[in-house]
Amino acid sequence: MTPRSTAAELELRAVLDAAVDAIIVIDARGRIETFSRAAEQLFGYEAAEVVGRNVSMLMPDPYRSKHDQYIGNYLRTGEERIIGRGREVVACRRDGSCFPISLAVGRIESEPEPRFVGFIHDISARVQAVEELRRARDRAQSYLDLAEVMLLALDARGHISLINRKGAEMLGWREDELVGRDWFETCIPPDIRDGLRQRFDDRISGKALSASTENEVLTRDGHRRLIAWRTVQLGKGGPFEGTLSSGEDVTEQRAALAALHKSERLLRQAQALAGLGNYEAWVPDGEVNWSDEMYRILGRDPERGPPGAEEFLVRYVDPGDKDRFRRRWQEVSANGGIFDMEFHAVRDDGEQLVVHAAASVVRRPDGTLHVTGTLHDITERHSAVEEMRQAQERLTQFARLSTMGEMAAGLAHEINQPLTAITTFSQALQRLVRAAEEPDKEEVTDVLEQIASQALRAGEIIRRLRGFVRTREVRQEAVATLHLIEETLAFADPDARLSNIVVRLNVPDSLPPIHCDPIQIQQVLLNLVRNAIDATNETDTGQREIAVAARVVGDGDVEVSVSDHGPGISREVAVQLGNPFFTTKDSGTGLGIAISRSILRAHGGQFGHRPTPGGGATVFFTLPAAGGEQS
Amino acid sequence: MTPNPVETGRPRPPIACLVGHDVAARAEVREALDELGVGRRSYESGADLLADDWPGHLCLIVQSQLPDMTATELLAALRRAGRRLPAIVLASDTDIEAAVDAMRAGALDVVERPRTRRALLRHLGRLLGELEGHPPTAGGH
Amino acid sequence: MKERPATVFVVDDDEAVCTSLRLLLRSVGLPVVTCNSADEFLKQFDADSPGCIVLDIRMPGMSGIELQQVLNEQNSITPIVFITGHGDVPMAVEAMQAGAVDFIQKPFRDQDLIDRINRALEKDRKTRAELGERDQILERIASLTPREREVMELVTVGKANKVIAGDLDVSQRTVEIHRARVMEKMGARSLAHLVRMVIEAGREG
Repeated sequence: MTPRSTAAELELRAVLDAAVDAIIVIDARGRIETFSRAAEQLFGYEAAEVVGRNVSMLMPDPYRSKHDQYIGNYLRTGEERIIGRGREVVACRRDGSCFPISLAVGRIESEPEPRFVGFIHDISARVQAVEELRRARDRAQSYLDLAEVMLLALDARGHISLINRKGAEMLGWREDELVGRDWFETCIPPDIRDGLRQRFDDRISGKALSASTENEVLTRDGHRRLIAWRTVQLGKGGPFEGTLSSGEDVTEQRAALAALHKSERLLRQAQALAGLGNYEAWVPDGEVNWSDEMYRILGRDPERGPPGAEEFLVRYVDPGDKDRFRRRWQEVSANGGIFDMEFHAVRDDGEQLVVHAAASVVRRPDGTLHVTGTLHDITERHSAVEEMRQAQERLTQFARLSTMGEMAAGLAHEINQPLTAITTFSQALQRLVRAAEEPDKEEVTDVLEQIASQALRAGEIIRRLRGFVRTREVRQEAVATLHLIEETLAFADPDARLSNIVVRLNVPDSLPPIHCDPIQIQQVLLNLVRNAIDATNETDTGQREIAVAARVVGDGDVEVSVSDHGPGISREVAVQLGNPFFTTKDSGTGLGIAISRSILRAHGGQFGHRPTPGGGATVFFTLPAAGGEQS
Repeated sequence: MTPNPVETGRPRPPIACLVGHDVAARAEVREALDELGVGRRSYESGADLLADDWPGHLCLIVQSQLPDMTATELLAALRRAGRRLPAIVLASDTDIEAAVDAMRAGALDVVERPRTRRALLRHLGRLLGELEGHPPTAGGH
Repeated sequence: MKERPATVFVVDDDEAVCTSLRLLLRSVGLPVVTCNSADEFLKQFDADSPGCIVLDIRMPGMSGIELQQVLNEQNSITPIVFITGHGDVPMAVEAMQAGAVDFIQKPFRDQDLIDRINRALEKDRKTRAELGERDQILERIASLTPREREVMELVTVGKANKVIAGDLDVSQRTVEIHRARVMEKMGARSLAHLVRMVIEAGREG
């Protein structure tokens, strides 16, 4: 304070002291001239303590040390950095604490040098509030950012006012790039853009707001994602201010769901195609669930729902199979286990089916049963198997006939020989009787005897032939092995004799009977013997002898073998042996071994070959002995 | 080569003489003849053929059963008439007796129907070759 | 060789057939010899003996057709009547072309067989008688053209047509035609017959 206190000065002083802002006046060298009351309160100095001192004392470094420079610069250059503007700076109190202030500096023209007046306002409270607000916002933002959903606020015009990081990420943008943009233009696919904007605009006009919606959005790189939204309207009660939405990307979910639906549909179709139904039931009187196909298979109206276990048995199991079904069911239901059987079923419309039921039956502590299983309509397969069996039988029959065809010359000759003898004998006899007054009784008797025996011989051949060629059902029985072999060799004998081949038989009497269809096994054996004859005829050097032997092997099976001294079976042929239509013969069908194999397979027998000691091939088959039975 | 003593100016195409009324057999023969470029004259019955003594035939192809006689009888009748022609008899594959009779009556061969074509081609080929070096004199003796 | 009785040889592997045929043929007074195989037959057969052969086609060892070939190679003129339990047309034609006089299927009517046997015996008799008339044979040989004669000479020493064609430098078909003319002019029933005639003609000449 200067000693010259004028009235004007006193007036000024009163103004200064009354001002809320702290007011400090400094001279051109930065010395404090005036320090208002508010300044005293703000800085914690008495005016007397600071007047005359450099104002920089109120500033923290680095401003403090630079302040004189600022003023010097200003006075020298007239370059204003602070004059006339308010700015926020930091100031220091007496106790050394610093605080934010807003500072406005004015220039007071005076001689010889100007002076400066500073208006200072403590803004710590404001700064703190702003800071807190910022922090709160950051916290909120981080919450938003943590959220695994898109958060999106649109203003009333449909522009993005807020979007979280997740949302931006989903859309392939940065957050700051999106804020302010038109949501619909930027992020909605063009084909649905107008519709969605219309719905948004409808909200403006106060139409009902649907909280949950789904629509596709467009990512920055042009992909479409499906978003499920939950939306609230901003400006409740007042004018529409926009919307706040959370959106979840459900693209994959929906695709998965669609895939699930699709696979369910496929399953239904597959079940329909396969005629395979499945079900689940709690027995005796719990819930029963049937798949669609169950209804279709059994012709039951789905409206009626599935039947209970007892009703199923009564209504759908063919009477002929009921006992079997019930027996098997009781076995399984006693302790749980697998129920697996084929049975005839009757549809609601009365049609008969063949079905295969397979179920897992679990017995629960309370004694009830949990049954899950499938029902398979195998009617067609069944008839296919049956047809195949019949075709196989026809093929076997055909092979027999073609074998017979190949043997026809021999067989015709074989039958015609006794017929010729009979005819000739009887004609000769007629002549004898006619010519002689008294025919030689002995001679006549002798000739008649010959006729009878030749007739029997012819009959025997025909009997064998008929049995062999007849179309018939396969029938398995216990057959005496020796008898079967002898019968077969009787067929092969004409061919063997014609080729000057001796057929040697080596079958012990003690051999057990074999369980087989005798005609089919004869067919197999005949085939082997005929092959052996052909093989023998292929060599000039080999012994003209075929050995047919039988013995018990391994686990009590009976092995029947045919050995020749032909060229043997080469490795190349062995590989092909049994392939249908593979033949080494000029006029063979190539079916003999193939059919023999399948006959043996059906009998549970084996087929094989090995070299004959000393050269040639031995072809053999085994068949199970008829256990305990006697033929 | 032996000079061809046929004196007529233009050589006639060889003509096979086909006897019989079975349509299928005729068709089979026709096919074989066409293949060889051999012409044909057809006669329904044995009597038809016997009534026509046209001499230019290369050979006879006779069905074993004719409406009025057997092939064997026809061959015998031709022989009696002094007309000796190479004869091929068509027989069914089961008719051994007819085949044997035809052979005894002098047939060149008995061909099993319906395996006609190949056998006919073989025989006619031979006969045509024969024709090249020999006049087709029908009447024998 | 005048008064040797004509014999019927029955060759069949079936004993019952042989026995019954023996009985039948004996009942009509024909001398019969039965054999159960071709080999057995060949052991006792004399081509110069008159008679005929009743021959089964299907036999173990040498078949009837094979036996016919062997006999042809031996220039046998003994007529053959084939009997078979299962024949077919080609088989019959082959047998006939190879010179068989007959071919009959089993079983047969007795009279049928007897007729055929008698026919065969008659033929055999005739052929053998003709062979005895040397003048006639020489006359026939004289009727041959020089080329036909050449062909006959080559044929009768067993040359095949193809070889003859080469020897004579003519086509094979020409040989065939000449050969057919030879057979016709000579009245030969078979190649064997022709050979026999040539041998007969050459005798004491």
